[in-house]
Amino acid sequence: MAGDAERGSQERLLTLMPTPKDNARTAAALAEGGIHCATCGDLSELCDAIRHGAGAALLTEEAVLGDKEDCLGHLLREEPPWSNFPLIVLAHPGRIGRALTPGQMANITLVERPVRMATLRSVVEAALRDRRRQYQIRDILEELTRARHSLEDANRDLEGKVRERTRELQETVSELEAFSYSISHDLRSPLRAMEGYAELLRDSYAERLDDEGRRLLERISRSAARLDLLVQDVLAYSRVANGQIELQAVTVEEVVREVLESYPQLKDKAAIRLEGPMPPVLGHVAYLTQCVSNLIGNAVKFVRPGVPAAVRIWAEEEEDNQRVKICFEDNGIGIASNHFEEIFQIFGRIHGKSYEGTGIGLAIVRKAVERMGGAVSLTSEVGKGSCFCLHLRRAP
Amino acid sequence: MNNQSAAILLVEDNEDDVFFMKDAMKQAQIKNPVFVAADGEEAIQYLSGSGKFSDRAAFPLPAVVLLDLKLPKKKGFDVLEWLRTQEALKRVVVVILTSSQEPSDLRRAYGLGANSYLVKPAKRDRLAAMVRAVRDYWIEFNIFAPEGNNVEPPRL
Repeated sequence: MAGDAERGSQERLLTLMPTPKDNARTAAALAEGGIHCATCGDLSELCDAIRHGAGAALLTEEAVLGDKEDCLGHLLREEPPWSNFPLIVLAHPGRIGRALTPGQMANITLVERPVRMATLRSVVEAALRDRRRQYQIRDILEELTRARHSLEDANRDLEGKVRERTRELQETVSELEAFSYSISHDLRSPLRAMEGYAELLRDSYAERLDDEGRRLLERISRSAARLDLLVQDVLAYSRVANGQIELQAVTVEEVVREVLESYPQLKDKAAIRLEGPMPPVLGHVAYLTQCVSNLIGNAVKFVRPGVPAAVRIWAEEEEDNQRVKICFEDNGIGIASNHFEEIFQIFGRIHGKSYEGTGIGLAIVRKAVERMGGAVSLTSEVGKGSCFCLHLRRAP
Repeated sequence: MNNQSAAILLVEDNEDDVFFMKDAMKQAQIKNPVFVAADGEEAIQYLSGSGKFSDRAAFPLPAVVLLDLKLPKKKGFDVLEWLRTQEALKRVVVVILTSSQEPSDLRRAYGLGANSYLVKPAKRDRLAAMVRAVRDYWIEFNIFAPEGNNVEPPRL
């Protein structure tokens, strides 16, 4: 912002009269009306003073016409966009000509000689008002420029921050990937060795062991196999949770048929009825396959003793026409409603040892469905059966 | 080529896996000589016939390399990449044998020119069946391009 000194110089009227005496007299007369004047000895002094800041300039046509070096012309042509410096030129009638317009944009007020002091004063005041407004515009422009710069700075900061966060996130993701890689490779390797040695022992040395020895060996094998399963499931979960996927139209019926064909033992354990047609959904084949195989796997696993397992699979559009639900209904043991949340959590098992499993299957289902932009729902009654539904967006 | 004498190079750092592979080969009645390189650098030394492997009569060029991915010193991928730049070796059959099922590993292996990618099975008889199949396919049945670069132009 302009300081007081600067503001003072911006308010002053520069005068340039043919003689120093004229100059002093004019300045004194105007000063009486409260106009602050600064007298100039010649045109180049006047131009310098304008460059340092002034409200207006009062000069005679002789001075303008005597401007052989085009001082004024230069000055006015190099004015910044906000500036249009007011010049008041005292002129004789009939001698006002082209020579008096030094620049195209020149803001010149011609006042005919002889001039009455009251007229001159009001012309000067108008010129000073005009100039004051120009300085205001300059200040506003400066303010705007400053604001733009600080906005640009802030923007640069923000971009930097976003870049940094993104890099941090990518680091976390690759750390996770390295972690699951290490799980699949490093943890499973000694595990497979355990299973392998136990198997070799059973195959080649079984006759040298007694019943108890063989039973213990069997336990080693079972534990190793179970740990292997756990590791694989945790790995599947982290893949589903962190994998990069693109959603596309998926033919649900094909996915279900594929699962049933890949695991023929499913059909041996239960009567599975597939009810078509199934509307296509927006999803990811591998993720949906994982969901379908886990849900069918559960449906044929949690059966009631003595009741032949029956599973019904169907899909239909939901009422909003935007979503499709794919349902897996069984006639198994059912789930009490107070366990509905628990079973979707990782390691959330409610049946203890009576049914095999790692307690990760449904957590994978939920995570996979969420990653596909959908949800999973459950209705169930203990002793009657359960119905799990996947709600996914309908493919266009 | 005498099918029984074609050598197999097993690149594997894990002693258990070496043990199970030899067990599986015995079970599968594979008579072919098997050599073991315990890390990537040793594999490259063997294949290039340098250092302690300079005697080609004692350490013949293998017909098939069974290559683990996670190895000390040089990784399986480094060995594979190196192999494919060697004029004399670039057609050696490389079968990746690993416990990794990561899609990125699969893509990279085939991208670098692996002939096959197998995941180590946990069960003894599965491993025996697998190694038998590998031996039969790559040593017994597969027909390779003849030596030299003379490609006959197609007749139009």
